[in-house]
Amino acid sequence: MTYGAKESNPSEGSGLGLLVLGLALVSAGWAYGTGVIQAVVVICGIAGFVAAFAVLRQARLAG
Amino acid sequence: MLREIVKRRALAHLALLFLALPLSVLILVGCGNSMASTAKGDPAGTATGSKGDVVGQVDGAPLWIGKDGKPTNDLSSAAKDKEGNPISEIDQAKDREPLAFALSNMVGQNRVAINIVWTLVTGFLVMFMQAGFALVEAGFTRAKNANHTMMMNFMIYGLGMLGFYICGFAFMFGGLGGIATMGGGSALDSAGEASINLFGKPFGLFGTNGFFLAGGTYDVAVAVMFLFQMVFMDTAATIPTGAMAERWKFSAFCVFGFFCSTLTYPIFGNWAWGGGWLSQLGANFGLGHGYADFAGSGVVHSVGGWMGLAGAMVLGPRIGKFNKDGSPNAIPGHNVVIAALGTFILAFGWFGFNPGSTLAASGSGALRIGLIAVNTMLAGAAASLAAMLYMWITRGKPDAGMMINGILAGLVAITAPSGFVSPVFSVVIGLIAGVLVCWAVWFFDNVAKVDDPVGAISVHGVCGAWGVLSLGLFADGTSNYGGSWNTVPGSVTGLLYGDPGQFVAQVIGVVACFTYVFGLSYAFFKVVDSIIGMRVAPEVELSGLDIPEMGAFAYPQDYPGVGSVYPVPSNGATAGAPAAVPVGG
Repeated sequence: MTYGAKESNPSEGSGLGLLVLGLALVSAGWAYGTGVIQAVVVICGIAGFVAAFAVLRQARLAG
Repeated sequence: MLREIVKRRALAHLALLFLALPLSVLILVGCGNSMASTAKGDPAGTATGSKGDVVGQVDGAPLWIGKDGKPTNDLSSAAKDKEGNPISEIDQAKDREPLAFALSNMVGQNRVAINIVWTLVTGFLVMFMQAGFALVEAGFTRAKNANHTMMMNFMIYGLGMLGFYICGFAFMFGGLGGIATMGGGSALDSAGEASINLFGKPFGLFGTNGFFLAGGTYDVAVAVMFLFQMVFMDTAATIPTGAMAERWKFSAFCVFGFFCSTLTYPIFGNWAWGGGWLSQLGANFGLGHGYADFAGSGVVHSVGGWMGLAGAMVLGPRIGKFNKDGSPNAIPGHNVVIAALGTFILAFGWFGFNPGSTLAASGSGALRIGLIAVNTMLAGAAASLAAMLYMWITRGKPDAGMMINGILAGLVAITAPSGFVSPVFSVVIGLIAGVLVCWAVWFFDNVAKVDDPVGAISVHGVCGAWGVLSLGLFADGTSNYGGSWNTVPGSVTGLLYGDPGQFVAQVIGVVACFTYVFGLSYAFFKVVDSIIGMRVAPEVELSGLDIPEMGAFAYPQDYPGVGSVYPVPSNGATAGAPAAVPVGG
């Protein structure tokens, strides 16, 4: 078990916001986008996911 | 040291692979499906419910016009229009009997209206169960963590709902087809079920219509279905917060809220309720009526319980739960009163959970709701009695915690079979659940060494599985929800009433539920642990999670001289926080 977390902090909030955004973009792009728009939106969403976990990890290390 | 790092990395890679597999299937199969359904929704509600919801529901009413011009019920002898469709008797009556035509439309809409109102009201009851869960879990945990525990139960409502709205509902019900009791509209097109072929049969995996409730799913009947199913999902999602209480990092919990509502719950839900492969075990392989789970002992409760088991295993036990020799310590909750009040709220909400799962109160056998409600309360009562007597006889006292968990165990167990069994077997199911939950709590404490502060894994996981199996044993074949279940004609009948295939389908469902939910959840929690951390630091756990994680005590009056919001130093220590106490407090 990893005992890494100290306490909640503002970066965690930002990371979770990015996570919601990424999820919404991937879903919207996949379900309703077509062609290039679909690809761009889905890629942006995946980037949001990756960024979210990067921020959350950073928040953990900083904590 | 190096071996440890390599071992950890290998585990993380395996976990990532486990996560990547369902995601790849989702993308590959989903892209091959038509995502943009051509179905039109009915956002105004003016076209939902009509004569079509009356004709065919009245015994002996003629459906068609025969080739001889007379009304008939024989489709093969019906006259056809220019497009080859049989000519409907009621359409022909429009000119001949305009009042009858108008009345049948009105009756049809009223019938659907009754069903929609019933489903909404029972959905509101289920939503109120969130308050029950919050009180039970807060009462069974310590005062120093009450704010944290309460807020996990509170926020899963919002987190889960948004996730389910974005894509969870689409994955679960996007290939369901028309909802017969709510007008049978085509907004949830059955062609939207993504499936693969195995053994020459289609295996439905997930739906693809209904993202954001937009497009063709901007529809009144779909909205009602969403509300009812969303509160069910929230029930499943709130179960792990009990099993993982008092040491779970709040941000990791938030990530779990989205994962559960968008992937874990909806995919298994699709297999069982959305037209997926488990529900088709009867139609495809002759196993009874396929996996049957009336209101969700498996889909809701076992899913929640197995997620909680995976999470509790990854988190590890609370500090002070187990001694060095492995023997467990009891860590009493701080308030039996609010735990008992929460349980009463849950028992009340269950009258929405089970009877509401007919999605109807008019026609198609929906009046069985009376029996379903009685079955629900009988099983709960029998289970609490059984748990009380078991503890009284074996431990010398009628243990409050086990009486509370007893009634919940009975309610969980009757959830799947409530629509198919008699009151007598409801009592039997409840009695067994009441003893089973006591054994399960002992097993997880003493054998598995899994720390579950509120008994959620035993109540929901174990007794949920028992409920699913009990349906396969005791379903008596007297129910009749529109003449079929899971597209198989006739009534669901268990092993004791002559259908062993139904019991086999139930066993397959229990195994599939545990394998999928536990496997995926364990991998997910491992990944979250390695990236952002799952567990708070030991000093945070000892001082209580309320200040370090939430910034406020649940009971500030217990700490006089200290404000309700505290400065949190960057080193993790907390100004004004109570002294660290390993157990209790």
